Amino acid sequence: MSIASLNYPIHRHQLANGLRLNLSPDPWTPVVAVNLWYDVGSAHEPPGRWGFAHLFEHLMFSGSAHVAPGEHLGQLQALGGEVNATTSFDRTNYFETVPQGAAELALWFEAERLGGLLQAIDQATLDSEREVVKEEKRQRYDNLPYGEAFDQLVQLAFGPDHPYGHLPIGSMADLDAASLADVRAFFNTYYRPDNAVLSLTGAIERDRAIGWAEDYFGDLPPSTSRPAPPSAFPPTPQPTPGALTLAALPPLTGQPRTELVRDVPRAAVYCAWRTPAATDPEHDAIDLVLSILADGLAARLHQALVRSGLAHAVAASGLGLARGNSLAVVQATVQEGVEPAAVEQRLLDGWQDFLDQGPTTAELERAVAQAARDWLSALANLETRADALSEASLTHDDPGRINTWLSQLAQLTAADLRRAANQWLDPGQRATLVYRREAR
Amino acid sequence: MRARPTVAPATAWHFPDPLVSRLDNGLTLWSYRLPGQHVITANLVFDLPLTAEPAGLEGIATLAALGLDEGTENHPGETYSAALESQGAQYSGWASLSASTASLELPGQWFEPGLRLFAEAVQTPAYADEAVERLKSQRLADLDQTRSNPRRLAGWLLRGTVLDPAQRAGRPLAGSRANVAAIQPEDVRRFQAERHTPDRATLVVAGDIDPQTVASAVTRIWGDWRGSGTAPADHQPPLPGRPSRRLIDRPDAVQADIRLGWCGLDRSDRLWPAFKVAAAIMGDGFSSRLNQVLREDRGWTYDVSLAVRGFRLGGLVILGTSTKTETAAAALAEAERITAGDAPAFSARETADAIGWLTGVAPLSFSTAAAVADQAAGMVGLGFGPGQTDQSLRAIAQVTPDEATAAWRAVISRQSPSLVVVGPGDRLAEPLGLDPEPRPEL
Repeated sequence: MSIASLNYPIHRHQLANGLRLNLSPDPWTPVVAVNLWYDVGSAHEPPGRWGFAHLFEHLMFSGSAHVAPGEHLGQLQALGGEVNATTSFDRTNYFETVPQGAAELALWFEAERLGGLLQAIDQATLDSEREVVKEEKRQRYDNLPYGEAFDQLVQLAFGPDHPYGHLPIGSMADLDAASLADVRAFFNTYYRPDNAVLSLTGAIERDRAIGWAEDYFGDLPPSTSRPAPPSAFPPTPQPTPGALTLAALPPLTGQPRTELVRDVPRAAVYCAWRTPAATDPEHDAIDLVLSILADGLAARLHQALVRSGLAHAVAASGLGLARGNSLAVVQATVQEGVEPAAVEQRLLDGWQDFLDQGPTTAELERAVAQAARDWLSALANLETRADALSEASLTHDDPGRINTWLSQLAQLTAADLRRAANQWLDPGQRATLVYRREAR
Repeated sequence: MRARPTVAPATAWHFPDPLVSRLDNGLTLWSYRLPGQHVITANLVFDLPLTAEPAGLEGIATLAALGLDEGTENHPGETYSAALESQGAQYSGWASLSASTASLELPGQWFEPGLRLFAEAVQTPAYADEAVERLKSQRLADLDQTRSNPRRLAGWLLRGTVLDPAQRAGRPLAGSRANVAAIQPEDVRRFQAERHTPDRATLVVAGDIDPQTVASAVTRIWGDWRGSGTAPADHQPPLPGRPSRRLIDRPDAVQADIRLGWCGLDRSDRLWPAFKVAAAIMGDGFSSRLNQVLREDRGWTYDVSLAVRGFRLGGLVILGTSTKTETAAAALAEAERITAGDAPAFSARETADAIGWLTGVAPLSFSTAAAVADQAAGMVGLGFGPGQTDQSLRAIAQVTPDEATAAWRAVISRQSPSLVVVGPGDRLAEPLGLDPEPRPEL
């Protein structure tokens, strides 16, 4: 098996109501992964509705016309299924991975709540799930050291009024103010078969799976009204009716900066850049640059910051976003007794060196090989393979990309990386967040 | 809407069987062929109880496992990591109570050169002074991170409360600050040379690769590895600590992190399968008693679970949740009521659902090479053979409601749980009836 020869089978089908279907049979495991991406995330939320997309991640498990609260999760888990959902800036993802004999039931549950959620949702459910979401925010953000870093970074990079300028967890005040009617309207706008992609991997047979999708989803009506875009950032002309697209913003100017003093174990320095959207050919080049700079013990910034004794750790990551721009973040945890400014300066020096020189051949080969392992590992699991299919379909309109992406990546040259880095990752185009330790 | 479909019976499934072989130098090989799994995982497991760590140097097993990719005699410093990474490989290492594991994941096309580099790291690691000091510094920073993170802090403190800290199992697995600081590079080099030896090692390999091919590559590459360890250290059973209830003050916290802990069982205990089922009914999954009340009925928490950990000898049972300070006392009282030793008997439905979950999820849980290799390595570390996972699943499938109820009562009713709450002391002291303690140094 070489990285250039992936050939997972992929069958595409579209229902008359617009639901897109991807099927990838796999003979090796008696399990089926069902993965639904709805084209609604926190970027779709207008002001005053922050957190609505994520709230549905919870409400969708509280019962529907023919399903009691908790029954969906409870019944599938009792059959040995894993069931969950996630919300990002661009989409909401519902998935269940179940023994093959329960695949049809999993599809029925998904169709049932898409068609019948509003018949079951009431004030008590909304109130209870809102409290759970507040506990989620406290647990995952407010009560952790550096817990507000990500929120600060998206605000710095995009501004609080931009659709990517707030996190999916949202505003608790907006959720408190939400009425049942607001919530219903949000559901009606986005939870439609023509706003979704359904991917199945595993022990399925193509024609039977298409038959199930037709049987259970085929009668659901497509959208009648399309969403208004979030106000402050008017969308660019839209290729398909109603789809949210955002203009690509240029790199940051003015070097926005936030310094926080907190009870954190170590000072920390974060730098963030606006980068091209996940659909832009330069996006992959940027991800390889980030890997070369910070992944692994041989990475440039590991040498410059960690081996030199200035920092305990350095990491860089790209947050791939579907519309207009993505975000790149590098983060260093500062050694005790070292000034954060010294770490920031050394980080930027190393960064500038890369912009001046570009990668060596060995660095590029390493980064591609590491990306290959990561990608093959994601595809090794039916659940994440189905998720990759949904992303390839909804974001790139090309489910076959799960087979071709690695060979595309391997064609990038050192010159491509250097050009993309100089275009998007200039130190003068960064946002900076610094955590200093509270004196105790 | 079409009628709800029926569910077809689950297909028979069993955990894969490895090809088992043994080299002349004592190295045991378990090789799993998993079609379609393009990434191969190789886990090298050493039978190495933490009681083997020299007095005052606890944490040395963790440092030794962590530092294997920090350079070798042939590839000093970062040149080793660069060579490994160019083959798409990723190294990780860790130490549990009973075993140390060095792990490599890499795409199958680079298996043999990757395995060669892996062998080089285990047989001729450098552990340069600079690298060991850096790893120590990272470990100390990680201890500060644990102290700052309420979930991690609560878990850390609970272990040393439920289990007797006079025993190794009751002390931090990766060492305390004083211990880590005392470790010298020469100590790590000596410990690794004495304890990472082929006669105590099992190499688990899983992926889409012919086991015979693996066996001949391993013989070629690892066959001349020599060395046998000093006298093996004992696997000691943990002893119970003195049950206590502690409130750790974290003044700015916006939640109370709550942990309740009991001594548990190991997998050899005849009650293990029934207790696993009982614990799942109590706190594993959406339908569990704890989740239904604390999250679904009350909306008090995002997350509540009851985890069962079986060591080579003995084990731990840990209930964990977090909730805003106003509901902490009520949530704790409910959690203690639900999990009491005289809790209502488990119903046939509850038992069937828990068994369905624990056994039905196995084909999914073990569907990747990494998952199979990690499970197999875990079983090696606990002293079991390759059939253990299947045997355990079969035993769980046979558990009756009465057996699950009896197992819960037998384990839980004979002891008082220990409690650790991390949260704002001034707001929790009165409702919990506990005096806040300052956060301890770790």
